Amino acid sequence: MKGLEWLAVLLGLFLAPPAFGQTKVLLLGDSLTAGFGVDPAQAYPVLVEAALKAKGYSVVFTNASVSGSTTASALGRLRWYLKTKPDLLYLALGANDGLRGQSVEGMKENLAATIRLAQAQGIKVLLVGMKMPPNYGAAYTKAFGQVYPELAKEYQLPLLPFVLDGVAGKPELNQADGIHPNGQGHRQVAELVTGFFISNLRP
Amino acid sequence: MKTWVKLALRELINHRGFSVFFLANLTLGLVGFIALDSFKLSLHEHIEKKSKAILAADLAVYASRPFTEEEETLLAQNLPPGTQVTRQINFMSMIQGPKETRLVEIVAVDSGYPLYGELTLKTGRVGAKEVQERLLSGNRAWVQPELVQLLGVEPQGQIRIGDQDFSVDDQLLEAPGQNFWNAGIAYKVFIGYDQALKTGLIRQGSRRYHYRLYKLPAGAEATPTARALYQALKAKFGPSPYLYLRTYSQANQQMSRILSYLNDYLGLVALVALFLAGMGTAFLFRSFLSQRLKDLAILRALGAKPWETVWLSVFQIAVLGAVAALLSSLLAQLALPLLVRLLSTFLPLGFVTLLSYKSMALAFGVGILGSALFCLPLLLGLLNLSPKLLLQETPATLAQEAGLSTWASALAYLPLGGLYWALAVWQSKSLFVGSLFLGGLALSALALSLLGLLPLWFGVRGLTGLSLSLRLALRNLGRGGGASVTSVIALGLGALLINLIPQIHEGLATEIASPDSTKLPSFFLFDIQPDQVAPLEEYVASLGYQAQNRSAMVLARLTHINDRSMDLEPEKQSQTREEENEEFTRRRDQNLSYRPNLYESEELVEGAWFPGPYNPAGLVLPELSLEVRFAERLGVGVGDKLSFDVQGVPVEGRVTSLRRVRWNSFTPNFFVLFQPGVLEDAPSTWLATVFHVPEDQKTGFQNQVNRHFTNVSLINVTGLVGKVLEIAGQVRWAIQVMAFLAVLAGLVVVYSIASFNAKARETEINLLKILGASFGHLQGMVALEFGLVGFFASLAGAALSLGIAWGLAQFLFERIFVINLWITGVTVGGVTLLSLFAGWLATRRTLAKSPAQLLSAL
Repeated sequence: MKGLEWLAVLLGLFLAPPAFGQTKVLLLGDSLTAGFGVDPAQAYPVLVEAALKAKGYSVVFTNASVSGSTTASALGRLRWYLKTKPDLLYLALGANDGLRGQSVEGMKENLAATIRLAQAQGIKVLLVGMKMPPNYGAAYTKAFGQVYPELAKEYQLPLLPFVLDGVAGKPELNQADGIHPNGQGHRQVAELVTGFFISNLRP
Repeated sequence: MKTWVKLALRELINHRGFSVFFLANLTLGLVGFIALDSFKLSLHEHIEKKSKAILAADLAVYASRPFTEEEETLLAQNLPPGTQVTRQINFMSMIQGPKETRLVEIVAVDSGYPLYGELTLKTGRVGAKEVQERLLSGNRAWVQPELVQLLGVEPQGQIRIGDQDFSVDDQLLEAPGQNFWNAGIAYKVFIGYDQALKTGLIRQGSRRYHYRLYKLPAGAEATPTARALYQALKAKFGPSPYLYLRTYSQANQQMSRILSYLNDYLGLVALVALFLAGMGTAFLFRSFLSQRLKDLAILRALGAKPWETVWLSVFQIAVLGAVAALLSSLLAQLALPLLVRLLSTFLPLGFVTLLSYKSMALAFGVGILGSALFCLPLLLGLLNLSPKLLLQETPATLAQEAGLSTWASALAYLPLGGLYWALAVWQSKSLFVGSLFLGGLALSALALSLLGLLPLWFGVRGLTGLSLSLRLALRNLGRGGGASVTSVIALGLGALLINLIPQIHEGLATEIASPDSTKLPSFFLFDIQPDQVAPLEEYVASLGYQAQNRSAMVLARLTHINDRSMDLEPEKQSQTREEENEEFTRRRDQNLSYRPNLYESEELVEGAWFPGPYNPAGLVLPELSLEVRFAERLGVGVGDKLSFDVQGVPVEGRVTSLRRVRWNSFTPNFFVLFQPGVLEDAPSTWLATVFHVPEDQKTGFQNQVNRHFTNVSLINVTGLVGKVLEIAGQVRWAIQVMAFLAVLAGLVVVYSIASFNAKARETEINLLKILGASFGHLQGMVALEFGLVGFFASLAGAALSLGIAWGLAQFLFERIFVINLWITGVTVGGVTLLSLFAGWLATRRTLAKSPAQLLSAL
């Protein structure tokens, strides 16, 4: 009986007939993509989806982002959401690994395993990069920053080098905690991400 | 005038037996008051000092970027002259040791740190001087001991922070202003401020916090200063300044809650002490005046003017009150150190006793002014005192003699009401609490006076079928008239005040209660992935420990309450940073969990616990259990429907129970629990706790777990909560001691009242003896009479105190209320016994006297 209710809800979701030609996008991210601390309607994935639709792209987003999540959870979560049969995986994880000073090799391996599973299922992967602030030290920030281009190269993936480009470190674009973008910050991120999608989607 | 003074003093000396007895009782009551008030002051100072050491300052201002010159000037202009300041920067960084690289939190401190408290290093305790001489004199670092092992660094060995090498100068065990929250994720490293700037880690884009810590000059209060500063910042930089302010009482939310409880609680204790002392003195003076009635009538017969008798009495009240207040102040000087010595084993280290001069002044005020005002209706009555009183066989009571109408008497009590209201507001430092307290007390006095009328009713009717002793006792009470009512009110209020503090204390102590250290987990483990739960448990077991309380954490967002959307309407977008923060809390993602049973640290306050796993075939929604304060914040209760967005999937549930959670238990607790059988398949991460890892094994344990499960983070709970628990423990202890002292002081006052009741009954006992009543009979009758009054008055008083304690808990202590029937029993028993004892003493005194003495007394 356990979990049947959950399953029923999910099955309803999964079995809904997809619109013809619609691209199903699965977003696997952390608090930045989950829209931590802002109204759901202000979170950048919602803005990007709306912008793409406005430009004539037939997309439907499933935002499976979880605040505080690290790359360790990526593989398990992707397995679960495979049931939704996504066409595209927007992989935006790693920030929490870095903030907690976790091993860069471990993080790289977690992301690689997730990418391999997605590709094995015929899912196109869009990789989203992250950077560590300079206070983490030159060696760590450099090693961390290299993970994304290396993975992109190894697995032939489109890469958005830094999702918070132009937003990070600007108090007026961030919430009180100084890490998470505010509404205005999300709008700026959305512009960047919309462009990234457009260059990797068919209209 | 001189003659009257002489006369007044001579009368007091001539009745020295009475005066001494009177003074002794009054002094005892006032000593209790001063000692209680002084102890309160000492405790408050002690705990405030401790909590200042938590922030290491009175006030901190911080920002996530460097302070601008404009801000620096504004800060300097808006702080009182004589304020000391020190700078600090906190940031996370990966530092390199000989063995490995670790994430640490760098704390860069400057001259003057710490403003309060001391740092504990491995080599000893140090203050600002040593920080200046040792830490700031070069590239030196003080690191937490765990890091020494983790980085593999030798004593005086080198670590690399940014572009610079630092030598490990000492190991840091404890530091003011550090809550060690990150301990486990990132241990702390202390370096000098200027040295930190040279590491190259602090530049554009770096995540760090710049602090200014302030120590205010003596007499300047942190909260109003912070408020004024905030207003100045707002006026200059608009409603969303990027500078944040924190006072020592806000440094730790848990601590701030505990401290505000302590403040309100001590305010109440002070009120109780004040009213006990006031009641005791007032009652004694009232009896004194009643006893002096005949002497005053003689004076009137000899030609004294009415106002002269009033002044004589006022002067005598003033003299006795002043002598008692003086004696009690002197005795308190001795009593307080004695009390401290008695409690020395339990007293916290570094506890300094302070004698409250304010309470001494109050003792004088209460002793003289309070009593005079309390006796005002009687003193006014003296104006109508007639010498014909001397011709009456049974002396009338002053109230009867006063000739004042009921309304006039009530009006005459108004100044007294005003004085006590002002004192109550002053002592509790709150208009609301003072008024609430006085209002509760006035209503209780009304209820008690109605109760006091009951024996009159029974006494007048006489109850056939009861034993002779019981009938006599009731008849005596009935005949007592106003005096009976007064003693019921006095004893009842005494019992009320005695029982009030322990009742409030019980709830608070339970709330603040910290589990003993053996029940605290050693580590909190989080970010465990579902497929890691079983292997992690096995691995921890292989190291000889046990992973317990494992809990799933499912992230969700609350979308609807009863179909009402939680989304903001566009026009209601927040304008200020405060509004933003409020919305942030409301919109925050919720961690949901599920489990089949309640933890020990929880109790249901409403509704019923889950009957079992959810049945999806049924037509009802899954059940939810909410933490009671969280439910209050959301404005929901049992029966309400909540809808969540669980990572893209809508899930609904209905609230079927509310839980109170003791967060101090440090077990994984959640605001929202789902009935099992709903969330099991949702993406989750897990939490667990590990107990009983010995202190010297902790680093090893942490390393091993980290190596096998690289993504799992461990928090060393002991380091995190040690300081908070220490202060919570002391507050808990303090409120217990205060409750105990309040009971003790109250019993002393009750004894004074009871013994005066008994003294007033001496004449009647004499009469019965002369009429041939047997010793046993007399004793039985008096015991019954005093026992009955004591029992019923204290029972009513104690019951009323439960009501008042409940009411105060609703307003002051976030509805924390636990009834302690044991203390109520002790109060009722204690007051009854004291009343019995006083009656017994009075009977003994009378029985010891010869018939000739008894006759002359008539």
